[in-house]
Amino acid sequence: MKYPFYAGDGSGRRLGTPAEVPASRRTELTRPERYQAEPGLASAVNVALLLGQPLLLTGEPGTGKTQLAYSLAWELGYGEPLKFETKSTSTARDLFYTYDALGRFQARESGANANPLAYIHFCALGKAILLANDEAAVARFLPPDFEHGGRRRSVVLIDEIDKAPRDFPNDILNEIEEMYFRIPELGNERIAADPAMQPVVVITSNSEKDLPEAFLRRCIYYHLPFPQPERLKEIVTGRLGELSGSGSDLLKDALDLFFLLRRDASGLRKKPATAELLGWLLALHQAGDGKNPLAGSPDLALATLSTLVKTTEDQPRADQVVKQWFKTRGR
Amino acid sequence: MVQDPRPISPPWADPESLLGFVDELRRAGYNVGLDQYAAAQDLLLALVARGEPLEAAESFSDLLGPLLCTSVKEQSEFKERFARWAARAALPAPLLPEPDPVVVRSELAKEVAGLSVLRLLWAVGIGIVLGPIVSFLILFALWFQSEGASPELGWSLGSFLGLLTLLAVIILAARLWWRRRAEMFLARRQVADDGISVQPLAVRDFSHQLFQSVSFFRIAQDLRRRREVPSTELDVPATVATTVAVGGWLAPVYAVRQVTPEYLVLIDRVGFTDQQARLADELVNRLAEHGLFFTRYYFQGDPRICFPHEEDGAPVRLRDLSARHPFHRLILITDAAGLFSPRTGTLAPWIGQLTAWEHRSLLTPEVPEQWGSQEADLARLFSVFPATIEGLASLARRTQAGTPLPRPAHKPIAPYPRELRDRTLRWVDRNPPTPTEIEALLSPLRRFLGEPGFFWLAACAVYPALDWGLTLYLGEGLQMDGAPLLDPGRLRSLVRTPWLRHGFMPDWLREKLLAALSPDQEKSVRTALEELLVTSLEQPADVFQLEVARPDRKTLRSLGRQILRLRSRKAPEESPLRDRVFLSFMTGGREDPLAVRLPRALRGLFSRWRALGSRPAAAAWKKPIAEEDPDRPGNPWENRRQVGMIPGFLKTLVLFLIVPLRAFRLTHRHGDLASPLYFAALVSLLAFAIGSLVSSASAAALILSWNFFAALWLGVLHISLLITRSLKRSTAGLRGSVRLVGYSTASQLVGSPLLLGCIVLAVPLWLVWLGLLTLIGVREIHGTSWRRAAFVVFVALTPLWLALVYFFISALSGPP
Repeated sequence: MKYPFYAGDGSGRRLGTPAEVPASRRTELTRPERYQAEPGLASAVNVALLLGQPLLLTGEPGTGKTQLAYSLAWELGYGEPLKFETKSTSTARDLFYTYDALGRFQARESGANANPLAYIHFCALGKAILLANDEAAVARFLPPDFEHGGRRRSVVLIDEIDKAPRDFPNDILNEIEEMYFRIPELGNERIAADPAMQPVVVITSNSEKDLPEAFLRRCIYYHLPFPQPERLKEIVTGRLGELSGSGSDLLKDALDLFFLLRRDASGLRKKPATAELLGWLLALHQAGDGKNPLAGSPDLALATLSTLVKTTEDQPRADQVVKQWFKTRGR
Repeated sequence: MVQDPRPISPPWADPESLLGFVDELRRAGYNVGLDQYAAAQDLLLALVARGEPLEAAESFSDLLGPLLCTSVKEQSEFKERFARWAARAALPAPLLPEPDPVVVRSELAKEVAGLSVLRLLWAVGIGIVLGPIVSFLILFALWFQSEGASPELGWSLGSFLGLLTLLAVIILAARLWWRRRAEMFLARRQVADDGISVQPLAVRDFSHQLFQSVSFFRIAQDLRRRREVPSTELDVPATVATTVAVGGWLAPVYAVRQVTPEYLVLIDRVGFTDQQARLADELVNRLAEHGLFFTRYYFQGDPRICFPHEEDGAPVRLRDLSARHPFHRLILITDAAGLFSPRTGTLAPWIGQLTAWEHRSLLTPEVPEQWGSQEADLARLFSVFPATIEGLASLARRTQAGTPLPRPAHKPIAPYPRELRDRTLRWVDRNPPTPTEIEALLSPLRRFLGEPGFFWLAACAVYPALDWGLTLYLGEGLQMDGAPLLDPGRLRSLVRTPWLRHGFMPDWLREKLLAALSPDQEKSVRTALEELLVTSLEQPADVFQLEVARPDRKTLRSLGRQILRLRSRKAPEESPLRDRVFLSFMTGGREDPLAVRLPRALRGLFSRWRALGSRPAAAAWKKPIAEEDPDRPGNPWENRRQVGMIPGFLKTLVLFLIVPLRAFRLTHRHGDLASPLYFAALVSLLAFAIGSLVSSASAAALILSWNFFAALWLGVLHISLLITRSLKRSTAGLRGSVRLVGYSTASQLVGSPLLLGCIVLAVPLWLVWLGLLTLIGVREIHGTSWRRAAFVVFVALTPLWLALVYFFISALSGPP
């Protein structure tokens, strides 16, 4: 395999003009219009929309939980989802807004603008609630740099809620159900979403922690199982189009090897998921130069394996599996 | 069948009916609250309002599932549950078409054709039994009148026989009635013939009773108490105050945040059936119900590899756990054996991995009085507490105070038996240890568990599978000294034994433990299990218990016996319901009936004899389980399931009539009682039929009357065996005698053909043949010598001969 852009061999060679590197095709993977939800997931989404309840998605990492929110927002014409990335220090307030008290304190000391609105930054759900109201109705809460753009509905993605402390889901129960919040720094007034424009909330979890039962009861729950080979083939073809190599043996071989790596017998601690498979197929496609890179020697497969297997502990095991696969196929 | 032209709406389209399904899910443990009930109806209404078709069950189930499921497991089984419910709830009665008489007749004909041959035979048999008895009474009365016997004698004999008949009829009718009820009950509960396995243990959950005290509530409160952690938020008042204090220079002070502590619990678990781990689970569950946050993993001795709570979850390394949950408080629940190197006896070198957590505690099943160097070593790394409520209280206070508190006071108890500690796997082996080893085990075990705990363990030994639910059920249902056995401390000791940890108890131990039960204990265990059999057949067990089991325990007991019979017959070979020890116990039998089942009156008699220095009957009474007799395959009647009922009966009859020695050598010494008794009944009927054909019915009835005196003959024979001290080598005991007498009734057929004109000759001939069969039977069943057998028969027959001679003389020579 050739890597024509960088040698790193200390030879002192340097291109005279800036090199042209091909545009990343990874954007192909995240295009929401190509997302294919399985029937059960589509039903769960519809129930969540019908009843106005948050949708909680669980499943292995890389099975498309986050992508569902993008697909939903795209299909419903709600624009980009408003994403909240949960952290182990997240609190309920972080979901709505953050307040830079230190900045304001300092500004006041130095005689600069001390309007508290300037120090408030609205986060995913807070922003969605503001957008669900007429601009005039919430104008007094809007920071100077906030672009409202008219009343509309949004999709809010609360990603990996299981990373948050256990209090977090309980703390947001009421707010999520009734779609409101308060800002003590602005007089503690209640800011609620217009029921007609209530945001659609999608929550994802990798199930690293159990979520409180009361929280679970308030959500529409769906666990995304890992797709079967045929279904995965459809997903890959749908997402990557002709890049998937569906017309050649590449996809068949890649899936074969992929499921071999996912088997318990392979000994991998972190099994590759759909997202890794898509990335690997892209890498294989680029490296293959129009041919099936899995047809000949294992070199290309081994060179691109890091897109599929991402821990140093698993790498040697994955190498073994790949070599064995090539050996078996060669007989 | 005539088709109903009206469209039938699916059950899920009816909101009331749908709520029934949600109820069912809630009972099955789904996390369903009031919101879900409302949401299910909302969904239905929303779909109807949008004009969505509701006919397709699968589509509706796809929509309903995400609303009612909250876990992977629930989601995976939801479709099947919904389909089952939909099938059950489909086609409500009012929508069914009117019955067509032609269809009804044809279906009835099918039903009749479906009756098994056995049932018809059974019905005919009842008629045959009742008919001769009634005829016999009439003929007997007529005979007395015609012969001019004294009316008083005739009247008293008639009354006596009438009473006996009435009794027999009542017993038969009662049995049939209970059997019918049991069959109807099973049909209502939809128990499939092939669906019988360990499933019957859908026991009401008693685990919530384990940790209910006020102190437990306080412990949970203490463990839940929030702790302060640094935050990135500014503490404005403190910042202002500090800034002013330092002359106006900005001095930000960050606030602290209060968070609920989270616990990482690692439970030592031998296997999925480990009841010590289940107890730990229950502890965690109860604390979680009080609002504590737990992340739970299991390990098998060595915690470097842990398994998640979900059965299909991938194993996780301890290192990964520490990275994943660094701020959790670690609690290990283990006897800590796996934390020590088996070679050096010191703490394992990898133990440092556990120090990644700041707060570390270890709960051990060992009571503080028995703590030694191991616990001292562990205390350098962990806060060590006993896995008791008191220990938990200490843990909670320690968590609050930050310093260890003095140990709580504990009642001294006997140590965990060294035999169990040193050779754990030996005691779960199917091959029995030597009797000396068993004795050496049982005494310390009894001391460790205490009398109530030992009784509890013995009760658990009845059912062939050890099950957490059953253990709790028995603990809750059984009592000693007026108090239920279920007690957290006692349970902790019980589940520590290797059998409850490995979820298996070998038969040799089960038999030993059952032999140790007193008759009263035995009765209470049997009653508890009979009730369980009825109440646990199907889900929803809760409802059934509340509605039926509580009001009428007596009814349930009777029903339970019949259900056990029916189900054990239909159960597959490997089913626990076919377990030899269990069935034997539940039907009131034992391998050695003398061990527990001897009638009270005879028991008293034996004890008097023992006092007089006669045969040591008490030894026989206490004698443990008799050996098997694998060398005896059983006679054809005992193998009628394989050879067929009629061939089995005829072959056995011929064997006992022609080659009785071989017949008895084939017959089991310790078998069931039903086989010989049914055999005797059939022989009597046959004898009566032949006698009636070749002679008069009245004469044949006289032969048949023998059956009424069979119980008396049994008593006479067995007492003769005891008087002559002929049971020294016998392992069959009273049960053997019953079997002997049952099969000896074949002798009636010798007498019946000879009834032709000479009753006076026929009866003695029959008695001679009876004596011969008894002689062989005593030798073969009780293992005596020929001489002793002959002596026993002579002793037994003498009073009978005398009674018969007297009867004939007085009857025939009666008043002129």
